[in-house]
Amino acid sequence: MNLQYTGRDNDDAELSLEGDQFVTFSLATEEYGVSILLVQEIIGYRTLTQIPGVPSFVKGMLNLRGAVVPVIDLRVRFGMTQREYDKFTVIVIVVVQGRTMGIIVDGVSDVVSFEASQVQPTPPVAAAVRTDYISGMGQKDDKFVILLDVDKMLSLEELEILSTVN
Amino acid sequence: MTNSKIAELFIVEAEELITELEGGLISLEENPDNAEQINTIFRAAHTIKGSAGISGFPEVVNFAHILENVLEQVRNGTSPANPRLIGSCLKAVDILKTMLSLIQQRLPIVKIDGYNEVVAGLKKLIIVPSGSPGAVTAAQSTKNNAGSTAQRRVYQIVFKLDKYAFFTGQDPAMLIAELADIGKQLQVTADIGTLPAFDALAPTELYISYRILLETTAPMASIENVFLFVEDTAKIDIADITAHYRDGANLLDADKKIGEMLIEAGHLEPQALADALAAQSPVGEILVGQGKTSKKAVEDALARQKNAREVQSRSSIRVDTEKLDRLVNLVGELVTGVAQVTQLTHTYFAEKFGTSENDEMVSVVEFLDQVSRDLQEQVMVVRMVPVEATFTRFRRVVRDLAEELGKEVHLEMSGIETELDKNVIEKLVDPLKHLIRNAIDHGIEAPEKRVAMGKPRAGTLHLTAKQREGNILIEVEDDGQGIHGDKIRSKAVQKGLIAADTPLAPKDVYALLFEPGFSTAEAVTDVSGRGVGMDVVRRNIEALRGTIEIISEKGLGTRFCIRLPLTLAIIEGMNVKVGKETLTIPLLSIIEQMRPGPADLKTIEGKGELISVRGEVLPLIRLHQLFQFDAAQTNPCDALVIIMECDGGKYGLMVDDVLGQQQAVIKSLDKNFTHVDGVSGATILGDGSVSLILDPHRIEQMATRINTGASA
Repeated sequence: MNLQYTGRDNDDAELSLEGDQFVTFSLATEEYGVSILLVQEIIGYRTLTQIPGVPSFVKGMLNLRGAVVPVIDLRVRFGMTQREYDKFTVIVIVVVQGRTMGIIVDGVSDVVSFEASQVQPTPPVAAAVRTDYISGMGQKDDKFVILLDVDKMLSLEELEILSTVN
Repeated sequence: MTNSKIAELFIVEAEELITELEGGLISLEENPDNAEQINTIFRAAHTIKGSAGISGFPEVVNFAHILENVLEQVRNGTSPANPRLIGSCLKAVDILKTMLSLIQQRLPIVKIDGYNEVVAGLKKLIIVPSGSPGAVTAAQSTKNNAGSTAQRRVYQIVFKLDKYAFFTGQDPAMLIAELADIGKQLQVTADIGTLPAFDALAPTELYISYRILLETTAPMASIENVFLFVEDTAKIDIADITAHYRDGANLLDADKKIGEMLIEAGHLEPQALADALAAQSPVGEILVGQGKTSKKAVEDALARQKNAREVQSRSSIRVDTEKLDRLVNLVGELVTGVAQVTQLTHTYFAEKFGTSENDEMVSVVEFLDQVSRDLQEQVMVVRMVPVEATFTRFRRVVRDLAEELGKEVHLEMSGIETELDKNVIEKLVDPLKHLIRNAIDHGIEAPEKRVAMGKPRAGTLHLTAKQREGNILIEVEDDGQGIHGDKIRSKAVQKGLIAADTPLAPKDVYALLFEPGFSTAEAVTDVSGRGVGMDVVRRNIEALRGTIEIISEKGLGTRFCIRLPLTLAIIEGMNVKVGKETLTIPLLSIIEQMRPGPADLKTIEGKGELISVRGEVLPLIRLHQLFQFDAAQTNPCDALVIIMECDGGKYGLMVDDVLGQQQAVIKSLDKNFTHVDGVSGATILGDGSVSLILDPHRIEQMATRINTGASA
């Protein structure tokens, strides 16, 4: 089943006049943000179907209204220590290059708008994430959000390179 | 509509017409006097020309025009439909195909190989009598007027195009302009009688009909040709009124019914006339009343008329297969969803009341379940198309190949109305073509040899399609020399495929033909014998989850039997448990399941674990090891072993438990993820979770790779 039309149509998402909107979530001690245009929905953690022969960060598949959607654990992906999934653990369903995928994160925080002036293009060196997956650093009041380039991070090429390495 | 959309529509239409044209030409060769066939061919060529004109492909128009001229001569009897003419026309069909593929690739229609030769060949066939402007006209006039070409005649043409004619690119103005090319239009009247009130008028619809008096030297056929393109949907009446035409008046009007004339002139609504006429008794009743005919005869005639009209009005629409696939998927979801509801309802009532029998809710849900299954069945039926079009395509292959190889082959087809999933049919074309080539190249003998053997000169190739127990059976059968079993054996031994003393049943000997790199042809011809092909045939058919089998009788012929599932979207699956995971195995690959005893298990260095099944020793694959899943059972004697068969090989697959059978709607993993080795897709189980569908063939290969890797 094609899911694009059961969920929000990416093109129709309301664009904030004040800047780009991001869904932010927590992962370990840091806050990350993903463009709201890519997020289709957010669901609670549920049991996944294991897939053989895939990198360890691909946790399995889930049935999203008839579509089979792969799910990735972002902690494992970023090389952080894994933790038990709890009632705050959520799966953020994103649509990347026409493909629907789920990302397991510790918990969803908020939807935040950043104006262009609030985004620093150069990411800090100390992040746990490879810098080429980061599109910028959002700052509002004293809150910092690492903005992820999900398109790049979850592209087919990336996944394929990783599975051959595995 | 954008240009690319127009081109797309044109391609779809033209492809159909070209198939019709090609098939028609080949039938015509066998049966040169079939007037109906000639008309079909001519109409196809003409429609291609017309559509190409509307879609803006002048190159196609010009070329189709030449072809049309040749065919016109056949139609009016000027040229015989001899093999030379049909050969040239078939070459022209090839050019048209090339043109289409260029259009499809959005390339300019230039530099087509052999274009000039084909055009020259066609032009040679066009007979141009001296002193007349065009072959077509001349030929017709000769027939009609016994040599006198100058006589002017007056025709009355009344035509009313379909209400939606504009949507199909038709235009009355175009037709009138075309008529003006033929002769002098004495009178053109537009009948606006059916024009609705202004507020009800849809500007995109056509309400007006036309009446034209045309004076011309051209025969009636050339007027008919103007309307050929619209004649299916339009009402056209052409009459030669030369004898009745005088001083601007059609004397036939004298005999006309007053109602008709009023309508023609636009003074009377046809509905009003119909109402007035309805007030009269039907003519049949009057006749019966007067004792001129029996009531039964009138009723019979009316029934015949009604039936004919119903058949006529049965219509079809063209639907994008992608849309259909989406529909099929959605309905598949619906069925799964309803199955879940059914299961939950049963569980709920069973828990609450101890029974789920006789409950209203349960029966409603079960009804829903039934309806959704029926719906699924119907949607599947929509995707089914008859194999006829595909089979017909092979006539050309057979004809060309027989000619090339100097053989005489008669192609027979049966069960062409058998329906098969469109996707399956498309993927079947290449394997079938290969089998046909093989049959003609290797199977059917040269005519002299056949005669010497007491067989008819021409070999017979029989294509059959039929439905059997939820499967489609397709057979390619020839009455040729059959397959030489011993030859295959020695060849296989020579190639190291089998040992010299391996005992093999005839069926298994023939199965060797499907091994990669196997060919018994003494001479490698252009057609077959390169050893590629038969293995590809089997792989293609297995990809469709089908099987292929060879039956052969030496000296009498060979039959290839292909057995295919009705559809690709659903499989019968067996759900098995490995650790916490549920996996689905295609039922087609399962032979049996067993729980082995310790004595049945062996380990051989370099070959891994083996299991003995009633004396037959098969490799044992532990699914949990292969997939690196945590299994509940690691001892094969406590677990279950499923004996699998695929690609002719057998193996045992160790799983924890078998859960049961289920119809699985196949989902591709590639869509949202990437290909996963050993897995052909996924399906949704009754409880809403995802289950992976195993690819038995890949699993065998993966296990072999691991075992040989471990021994190295």
